[in-house]
Amino acid sequence: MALTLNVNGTSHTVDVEPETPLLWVLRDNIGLTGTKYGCGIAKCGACTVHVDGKKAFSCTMKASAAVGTEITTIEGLSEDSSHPLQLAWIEGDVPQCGYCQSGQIMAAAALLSQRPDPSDLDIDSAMSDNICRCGTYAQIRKAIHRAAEIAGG
Amino acid sequence: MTPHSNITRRVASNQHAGRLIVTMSRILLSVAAVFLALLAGAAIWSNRHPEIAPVEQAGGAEFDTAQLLHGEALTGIGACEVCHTAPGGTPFAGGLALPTPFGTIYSTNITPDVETGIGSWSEEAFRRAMREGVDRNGRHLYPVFPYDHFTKVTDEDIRAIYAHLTTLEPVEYKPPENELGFPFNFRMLLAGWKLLFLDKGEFQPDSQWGEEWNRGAYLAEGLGHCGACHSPRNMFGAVMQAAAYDGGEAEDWHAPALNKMSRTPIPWKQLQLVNYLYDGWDEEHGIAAGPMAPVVNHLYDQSEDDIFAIAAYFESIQRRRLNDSEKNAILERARSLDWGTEFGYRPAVVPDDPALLRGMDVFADQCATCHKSGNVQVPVSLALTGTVNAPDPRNVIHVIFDGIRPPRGALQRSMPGFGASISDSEINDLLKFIRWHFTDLPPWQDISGQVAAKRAHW
Repeated sequence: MALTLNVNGTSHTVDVEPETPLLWVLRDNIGLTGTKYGCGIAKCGACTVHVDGKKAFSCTMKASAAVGTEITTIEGLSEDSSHPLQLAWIEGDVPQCGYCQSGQIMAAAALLSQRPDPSDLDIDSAMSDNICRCGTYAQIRKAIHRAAEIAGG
Repeated sequence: MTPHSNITRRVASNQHAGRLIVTMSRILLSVAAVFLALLAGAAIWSNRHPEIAPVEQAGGAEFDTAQLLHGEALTGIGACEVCHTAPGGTPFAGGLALPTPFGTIYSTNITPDVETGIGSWSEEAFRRAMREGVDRNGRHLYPVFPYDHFTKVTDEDIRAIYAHLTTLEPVEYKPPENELGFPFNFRMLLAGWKLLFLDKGEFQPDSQWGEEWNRGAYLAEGLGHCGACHSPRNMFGAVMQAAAYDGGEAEDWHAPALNKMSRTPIPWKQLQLVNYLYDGWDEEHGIAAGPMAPVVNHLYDQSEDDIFAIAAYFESIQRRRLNDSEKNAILERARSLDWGTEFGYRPAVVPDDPALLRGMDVFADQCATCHKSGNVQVPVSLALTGTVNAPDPRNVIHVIFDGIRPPRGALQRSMPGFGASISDSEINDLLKFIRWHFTDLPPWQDISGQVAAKRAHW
């Protein structure tokens, strides 16, 4: 079935079963492999993307449900890695193995769009859906505060 | 045509019914306002409040450390910060929009800034605000500031809270003007309101009960102002004392009943209430979400004595007891309704209705990855939660759309939001199924209308 999806501002028409998880359409059909597969059941956050500006898990979202929405993946967060979170991530050397980090950054971006200057509790609470096997949580929290600072000027 | 049949016909039409209700409530509110105005006239004569002279505060220097720490703890019990902070704003600087049936009121700045906060308020002025709902200038405060509860607080505790507030960093911030239509923008109406609904005076202990219970009652009825959300309000916006704790409203969430009307299948025991108030989680009741989450985040820092006391009080007002076998039967039934772990699991009783069947598929697909028995991190049995058993589906709708941002004591118990990833029609079917499968209660009314309302503001 042909579905048209708007990803990072570009329209893509793909031929998939409507219940295919959005994650596989992004990775296999569109070729955007920045979004990762972790658990497949919305429990780890590695596949986090934005749907109309809100955080969503692409591994359990049906492709058909994404039609007519604006999807943003890690590749679309900024054109040149200049999003405050990306700058803060590089500055703070946040990732260790890196596998969960695109999901972490997308979750953090959704948080910052609602709370430009989040407290520790805001961060712990909003980021609790994203798991990091290397345990980079402290660096993530610090980098989110730093990104809020960069964004605030 | 008689006026009567005219009205009947209008009510019969759904389109007009809503408008009629709006018109009627406007008329009622106006009648109420006139009534209050008359009362206000009488009250003003006998009840004028002079300005209290400004003072220069000493940043807490005149209070001892024990008082300051006590005051900090008490502001947590009262959760002052929850209302007196705008989203993303500085704590205690105010500016949160509080929608009421009479218009929107913005919380005030209670940091010690002289111009925009309460930096020129004496302790006497602060006490008068807490006890009588009057600001330093002598203006009546709207009862969205729950002075009907705070009036019960002791002088000593009011002094400690005042002491703590004077130590905060002053923030220069002027909250937006209230958006209240005529006649509610006239604060003098509140003189009448107070005559009717403000029962001034400190909490009086009940000698029938022990010290712990009385401590809990004092905290819950006074600073804790639990009844401000958990009790229904009348057309004047006042808590209905006769229906105290029958359940009420909080920011478009249903605030569940805490008395015998409570819908949780397992009545709350003191220790379970302690779990919930401290951690925001109890395994036979579930998690604190929505407007209750910031409340338990504050209670997390409180003394065990105070939390046990509040719990003792709320255990006592439920008046519903189960013996062990009754309780076990409820738990067993709840477990039997939990989703199974095997691939392609189907419950023992499968619905015939196509909407319920679709809802079951959504549940199996989206919810049962976590909400199933034998999960490593077992979520609450949905059949036990107050939300699934609640009279309306609002709280479940909020949770499905936004997920659960867990409170501090239960950070591992988050739930992702599904508002972006499942459609409204799927959510409608899912809600029908959840109610049908996990309870024996009648279906929720107007699910699709309430889901659409949520989507519109999302």
